Amino acid sequence: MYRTPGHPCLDDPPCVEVCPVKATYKREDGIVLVDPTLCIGCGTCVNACPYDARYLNPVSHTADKCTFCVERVDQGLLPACVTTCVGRARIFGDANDPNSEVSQLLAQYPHVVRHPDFGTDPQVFYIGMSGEISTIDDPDIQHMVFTYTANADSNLPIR
Amino acid sequence: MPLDTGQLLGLEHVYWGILIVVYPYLSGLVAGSFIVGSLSKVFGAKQFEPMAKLAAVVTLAFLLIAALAPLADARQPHRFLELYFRPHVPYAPMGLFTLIWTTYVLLALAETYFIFREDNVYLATHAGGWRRSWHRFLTLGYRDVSEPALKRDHTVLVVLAAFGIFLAFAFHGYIGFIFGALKARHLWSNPLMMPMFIVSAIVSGIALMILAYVTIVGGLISREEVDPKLIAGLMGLLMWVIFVDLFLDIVDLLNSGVSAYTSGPVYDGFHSIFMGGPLTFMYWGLQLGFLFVALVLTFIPRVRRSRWWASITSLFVLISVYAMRYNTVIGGQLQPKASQGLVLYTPPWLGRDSIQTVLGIFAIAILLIALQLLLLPWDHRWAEHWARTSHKTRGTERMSPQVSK
Repeated sequence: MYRTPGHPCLDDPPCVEVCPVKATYKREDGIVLVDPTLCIGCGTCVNACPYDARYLNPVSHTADKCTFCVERVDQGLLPACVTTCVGRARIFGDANDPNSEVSQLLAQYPHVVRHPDFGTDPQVFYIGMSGEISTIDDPDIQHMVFTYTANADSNLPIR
Repeated sequence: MPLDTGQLLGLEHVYWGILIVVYPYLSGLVAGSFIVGSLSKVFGAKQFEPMAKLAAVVTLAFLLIAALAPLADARQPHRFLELYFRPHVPYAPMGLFTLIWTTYVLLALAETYFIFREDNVYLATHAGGWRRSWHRFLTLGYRDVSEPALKRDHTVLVVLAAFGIFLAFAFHGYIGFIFGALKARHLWSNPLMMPMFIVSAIVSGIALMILAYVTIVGGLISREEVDPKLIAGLMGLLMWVIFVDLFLDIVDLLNSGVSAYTSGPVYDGFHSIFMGGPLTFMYWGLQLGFLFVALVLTFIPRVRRSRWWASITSLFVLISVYAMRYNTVIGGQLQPKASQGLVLYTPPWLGRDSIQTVLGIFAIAILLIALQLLLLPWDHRWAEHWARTSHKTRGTERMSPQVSK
């Protein structure tokens, strides 16, 4: 699985459109961020995200998401998940630059994006993924999905 | 979601809880009661004239608290001013809602001013004590009650009512659109959302006005004053709107509940939540069942004229519409976006976004209605009573239910 955001996140993010205070915004390079000093924490973006990429941060009491380690990216470093991945499964780079590793991989290998049907034009590509991460019960993918999300009653405390 | 409750992070949750269920419920009551109050002015249905002032009282109370529910749900409610000053037009449904709500509040205040102006002038000249100064203040200095002035008042009220009905549709239709606009939720992303919300708003508003009329007029004036013809008229109206509501429910059911007619995710979600899932009874029993029972009750002439039976029918309708809001708001979020199974939700009793908060919001609504009934001349008999009693020395004024005609 290769994650290659030249324009990370989406090209057409619903979370930016629905924000009633425009606390959430897309940078020139495509990274979508939340301004925690503006967000009123209404949760519309959380519901609007087709990828469950957003949540309400229990510390700042505002909406939050992966920032692609924007502080590192701005210093010319890679996101922490990319440098720490022992399998080197994650690649980060500029897909507009034909010489970048991301562009080379995308040119060589078949790749998919998640939920193309939502028309969000995702900029996170997966190489070697067969089909969608499914919500339909399937014993073959059960263990993978289980580590990713174990649904619980939202209001029950962890015991 | 404070850390100390130990809730799971990064997994799927119902982020819009019971307060967001109450939010469209309250605003539906606003839109519906406003339309009932405007019937006599815009559609010339003179038999509903006695409802106009009562509807103005109920509408204003529920309108003011309608924005409290989403505000109480927001994690940073003190930043609400950003809703007015950040450039969100026209793409943020909730941002546009704020503008529509604000316009509606201004319109409701203007309506309250004009609809009570004549009686306020009467009290400003005939009452004594604090009532005199209070009602003088309410006239805002315009105390002309000549024939042409009252005629002008009426024209203003007709224009306000007409624009208000348009706003009622915009107001509540837009709440439907807040959900309908979120394509990530399969059960929300539905063009029927707007008409369904508007029609159920009218249904619940009529039911609320029947209940308010029976309890307030029956309780504060006299039971004989409760006009069976007026109740029958509202019940007849209720019947037709329930017909439309049930029709839309059936269209929705056909378009979501049958696998051959709909997309996979919509069918999966609908089937696992409403057909043998956690909200099965809420959907079939409360939302559809109660509405159907209420529809049958409106067919019976004796039920239509009886204030008891009309109230029971209205309660059925109010429960059904509440269940519809719950099924829409919570039901839509029970379907996971990225994982398996269903997300579960039980509204907490106490704390943020809980049943306690909801009861508090309804308590504020009742307080606002009570305050208005005390401070606005909603009935001429009470106005005359206040005019007579307010001249006595301070402290002896009594709120006597024995109002002479």
